[in-house]
Amino acid sequence: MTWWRNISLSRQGTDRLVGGGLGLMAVISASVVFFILIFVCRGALPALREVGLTRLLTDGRWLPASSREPQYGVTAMLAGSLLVTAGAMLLATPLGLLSALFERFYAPRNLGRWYRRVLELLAGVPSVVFGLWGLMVLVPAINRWHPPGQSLLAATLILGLMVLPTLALTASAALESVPAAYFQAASALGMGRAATILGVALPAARTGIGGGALLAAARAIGETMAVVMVCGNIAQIPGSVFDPVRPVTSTIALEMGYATAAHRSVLFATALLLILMVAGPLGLAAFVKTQQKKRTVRHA
Amino acid sequence: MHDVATDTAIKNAFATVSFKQKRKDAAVRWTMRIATYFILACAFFVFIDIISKGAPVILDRGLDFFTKNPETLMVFETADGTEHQLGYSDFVVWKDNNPDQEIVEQHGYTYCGGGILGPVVGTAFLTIICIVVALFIGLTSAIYLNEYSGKGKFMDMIRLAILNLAGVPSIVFGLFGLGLFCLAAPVITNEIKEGAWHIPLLSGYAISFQGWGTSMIAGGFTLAVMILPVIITACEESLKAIPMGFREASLALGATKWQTIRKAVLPYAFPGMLTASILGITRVAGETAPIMFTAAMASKATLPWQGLEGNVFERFFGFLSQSVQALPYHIYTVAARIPQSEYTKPMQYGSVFVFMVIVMAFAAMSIFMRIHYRKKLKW
Repeated sequence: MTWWRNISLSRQGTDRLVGGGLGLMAVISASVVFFILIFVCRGALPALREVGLTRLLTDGRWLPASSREPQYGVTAMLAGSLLVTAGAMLLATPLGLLSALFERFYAPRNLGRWYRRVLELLAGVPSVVFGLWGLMVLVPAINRWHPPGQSLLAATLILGLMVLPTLALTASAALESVPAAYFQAASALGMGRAATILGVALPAARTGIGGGALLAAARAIGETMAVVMVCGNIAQIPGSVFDPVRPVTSTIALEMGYATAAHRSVLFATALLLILMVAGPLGLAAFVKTQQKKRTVRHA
Repeated sequence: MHDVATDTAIKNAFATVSFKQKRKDAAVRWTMRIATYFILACAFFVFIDIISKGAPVILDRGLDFFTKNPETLMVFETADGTEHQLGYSDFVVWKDNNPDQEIVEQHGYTYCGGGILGPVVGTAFLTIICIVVALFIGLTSAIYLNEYSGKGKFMDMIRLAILNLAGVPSIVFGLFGLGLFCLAAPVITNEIKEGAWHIPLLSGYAISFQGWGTSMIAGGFTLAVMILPVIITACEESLKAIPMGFREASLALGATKWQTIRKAVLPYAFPGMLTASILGITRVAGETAPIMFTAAMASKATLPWQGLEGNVFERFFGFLSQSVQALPYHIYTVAARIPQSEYTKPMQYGSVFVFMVIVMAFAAMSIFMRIHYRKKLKW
C-alpha cells in the first residue's frame, strides 16, 4: 500500500490541491479532541483557580447555588459514578461473557446468528428509552420492594442492561479471533468442549474480552440520560443499594441549564474529572492492546 | 457463523468421556445457556413492554399523534357528568361549538395532549444537518487517512486523536458544543455582542465570534462531532475493502491519483459508506445529552419553517439558528421533568414507541444492507 500512498505520477495542480485539502480535513478531525479538552479546561479554570481542587474533593456537601455559603463537594458524585459503574460491570460482565461463550461454542448456528442480531438491536436502543423503561417498570417494582425506588440499584440494573450488548458482542468477536490451530491442538489432546473453552479459548481471548470490558466501563461512566432518570439524584454516598445516588453525568445534565458563574465553572471542572475517569479504563485498554501486539510480534 | 476448526474440536470422536467429565460439561453448558436466555428474556421484556403499551396509544390517537405538536391536555367534566380529554387547541374549538355546556371541573396536564410532530421534525432536521457535516468531514478525512497518509509519529497521533474522540462521554460533547458552537462560533452580523471578539467588515457588518446560540445548527454540529469517529472508521474500512488492483488498473490507464480515487475507488466504497451513515443516523437520533444545552427546547408552538421573516438569506439563517424540539428530549421531558399522573403515560409510551420504531427501522436497514452488499460485492 505504501507505494500508492506516496505516488506522485501527476503534476497537476488539482491533484496537489486535493491532497492538501483532504489532509487539512484529517487534521481538523484530529484536532477536535484537543478542542474538547481546551474548552472544558477553559470552562473549568475559574473554578480550579478560585475554589481549588482540594475544596472540590474535601467539601462535605454539594450546594453550588447557595448564595451565602456555597459548597462544592464532588466526592459523593464521584462515588455515585464509580458505584453505579462497578455494579453494572459486576452484573453485566459474567452474563455477557457466558452468553458469548454459549453463542460461540454451543448454540445452533441460527440461534447464534439471531442472538447477535438481537444484541445489535439492543445496543442501538437509545439511552432515553432505557431510562423511560426503567422509570416506568423497574423503579415502581423496586419501590414496592423497598422504597423509594429511584436508587443505586435501579441505576445499576439499567446500566448493566445497557452495557450488556457491548460486552457480549466484543467478547464474541474476541472468541471468534482465536486461531483455529488452538482448537485443533486442543482436539488432538483429547480435550472436551468445556475443557477447551476454559483452558484454551478463554485464556487466548482474554485480552480482547478485557479490552471490551474496559470500553464498556468507559461507556458506563459516561452514560447520562438513562441514569439521570432512575438514580434519584440526591448527592450523597449511599448507605445501601436502595438509596438514591447522583453520578457526575447526572449533575451536569441537570444543572448546566440554569447554572451561572462559579457554579457553571465547577460543573466544567466535574466534566474534567469525568474525562479523567473515562481516560483511566480507555488508557488501560490501549495499553493492554499494545502489550498484546508486542507479544504476538515476538511469537511470530 | 463459526469456523470449521471449532467444530473439529467439538466433534472429537476419539476422546473418551467419563461420567464426571460429562456432568461438568453439562453444568458449564447449562450455566451459559441460562445466561443467554436470561439476556434474551430481558431484551424481549423491554421491547414487548414498550410495544404493548405504546402501540395502543398510536391506534387510539390516530393521525393526530403525528400531525400535532405537544400541547396541554385538558381533562374536564361537563355538567351532565361525562369526562372529556382534549388537547388544548381542540378544547378551544369544543368550547366554541358547545357554548351551552357547563364545565364543572377542569385540569391541564402540560405536554400530555396533541402529538409529536414538532419533536419528530426537529430530530429529523438535527439528524440531517449532523449527517451532512459529519459525512463531509469524515469522508474527506477517511480518504486522506487511507489513500494519502504516510507512516510516522504524526499520523499515529492523528489516528490516536480520532480514536480517543470515540471515548469522550456524550455529556462532555454537550458542554463542548455549548462552549464552541453556542458561545464562540463565528457569525456575520451587524449586531455585535458586547465583549465578543470580532473582525470588522464593510458597512457595520463584522465576523463576530459570539456563537450561534441555542440553535438547530449548533446541535447538528455538536452531534456531527460526536459521530465523527464512527463515520471515519466506517468510511476507512469500506475504502480498505477496495482491492489494490482497481487503483493499479486506473493508474495504468493514465489517470491521475485524484481521478483514480474519484472514478475507481469511491463508487465501489459507496455502499459501505451509506451503511455507515445510516448507522450514524441511529446513534445520533437517539442522543439527548449533547443537544440538551445546544439545541433542544421542551415546548414550541411553531414548526421550524413557520414564522420566518425577511429575504431568502435571513429566512435561511433564521431557520438554522432557532432552537428546536427533539424527540429524545421530549421523551426525557415527559418522563422525568413534569409531574406524573395517569394522563402522562399515553404520551410517554406513544412517543417512545414511535421513537423506537424509527431508530430500530434505521438500525435494521443498516444491518440488512451490510449483509446484502457483503453478498453482492465480491471481487
